[in-house]
Amino acid sequence: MPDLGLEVLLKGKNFIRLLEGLGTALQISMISVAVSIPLGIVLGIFMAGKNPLIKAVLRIYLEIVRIMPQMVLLFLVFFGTTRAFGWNLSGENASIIVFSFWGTAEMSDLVRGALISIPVHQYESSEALGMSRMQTYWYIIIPQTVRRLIPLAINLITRMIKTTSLILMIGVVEILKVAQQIIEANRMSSPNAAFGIYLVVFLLYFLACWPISMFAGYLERKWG
Amino acid sequence: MEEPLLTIKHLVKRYGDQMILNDISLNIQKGQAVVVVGSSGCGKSTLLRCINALEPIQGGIMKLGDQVIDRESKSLTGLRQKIGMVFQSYDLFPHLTVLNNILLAPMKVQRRKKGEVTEEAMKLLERVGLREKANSFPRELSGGQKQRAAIVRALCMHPELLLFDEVTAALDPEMVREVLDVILDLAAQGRTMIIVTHEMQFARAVADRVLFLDDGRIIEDEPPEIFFENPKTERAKQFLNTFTFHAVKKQTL
Repeated sequence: MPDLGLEVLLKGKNFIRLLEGLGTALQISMISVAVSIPLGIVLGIFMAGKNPLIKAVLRIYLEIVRIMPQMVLLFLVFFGTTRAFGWNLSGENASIIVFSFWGTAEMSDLVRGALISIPVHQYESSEALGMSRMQTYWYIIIPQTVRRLIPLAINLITRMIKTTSLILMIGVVEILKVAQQIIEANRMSSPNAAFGIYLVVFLLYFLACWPISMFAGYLERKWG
Repeated sequence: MEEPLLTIKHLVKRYGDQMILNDISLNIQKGQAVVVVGSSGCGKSTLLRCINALEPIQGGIMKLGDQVIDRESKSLTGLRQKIGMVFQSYDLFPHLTVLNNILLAPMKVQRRKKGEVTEEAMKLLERVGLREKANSFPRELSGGQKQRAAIVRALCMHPELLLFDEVTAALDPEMVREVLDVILDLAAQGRTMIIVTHEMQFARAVADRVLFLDDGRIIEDEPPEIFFENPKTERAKQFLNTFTFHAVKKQTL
């Protein structure tokens, strides 16, 4: 077996530091998820609604987020705000802003899609049974929307976790940055460490995202 | 003469400039099974949707008993409980079992006890041959079974009037019969029903009265034997002719 340089992990606090890096990545993604999901639900309801002006504005917002690479958004918020407004945002906060901005847009589109996918005869047959508007939403529309939404929302969460690998570019010390630091520091003593450490990084990302994906798959099968 | 259950006077329904229902007037007595026929687009489905206040109307008045059917009325949900409707598209709620589909409205809208409604639901399911499907989800049912379950769901609200909107139009031919048999059974019980259908044999068997709609107007209103044997209008003759086939004469080459 080739030397993977895995012994580097056991030096000092290296493995703990990697876990802490993963912790930072998860923290930033989870805070962003906590902002994105409620905001996305509200905006998604408006996007599925009738007001053409609100719909147009939200559409533009969504398209901007879709077209712009996340990296550009990160640079724009992190460096741009400093130049333009003299703000001194930390990399973490800039990341949370960008991820929430992006996540909210994606979430709103998922909510819109789930809402408009409920056929109109579901509303009508509920009303034909004498149910009020509120009862129709509560017993018929929302349960079906949520069932369609949860697997999609979970996939969005794993995408957000994975995309935190970009934020080292604005100086956030997350798992990938820690990995680079460990590799750099041990370049002389363990030149092979790059492979081993990135392998461990891969495994840690996998362990963070896989259970979430499995859960999404389970819900999809259960409700499909 | 007894007060009609349903009274429609000068009903007008337009989509934009297009006239869908043009001055429809109609009385339906309690216990009548009325079949509405006519070519596609003649307004027969729209008529049912108007009666259940699913469509805004542009003129006329409709009353169930002495209650006006009005989309804007506060008592609309109360009114709709008295009108059961089954649609062409399978309209069971996919996230609920058959039994819960049936129980939902009686329990949440009419605030009836679960035990009592369950008992009634099971009896009705038994009657339409679906007792063992009570705990299945709609996706596990065939089209015909779904429509029978939808009929039971409507019946459990104890409606005074039942509306059937081409309930067999989306079904495979071998499933049409099982659904129509349920409706025939309801007619035999003396339920008041308005049935829109393309099944002429069935229409003839079930109807006390046949309405023929053409271009948004009722142009015939007859007992079935007269309508099917001796239609008065040329339009109705043409329409009925589209259902008869003449044997093809084989040409010898």
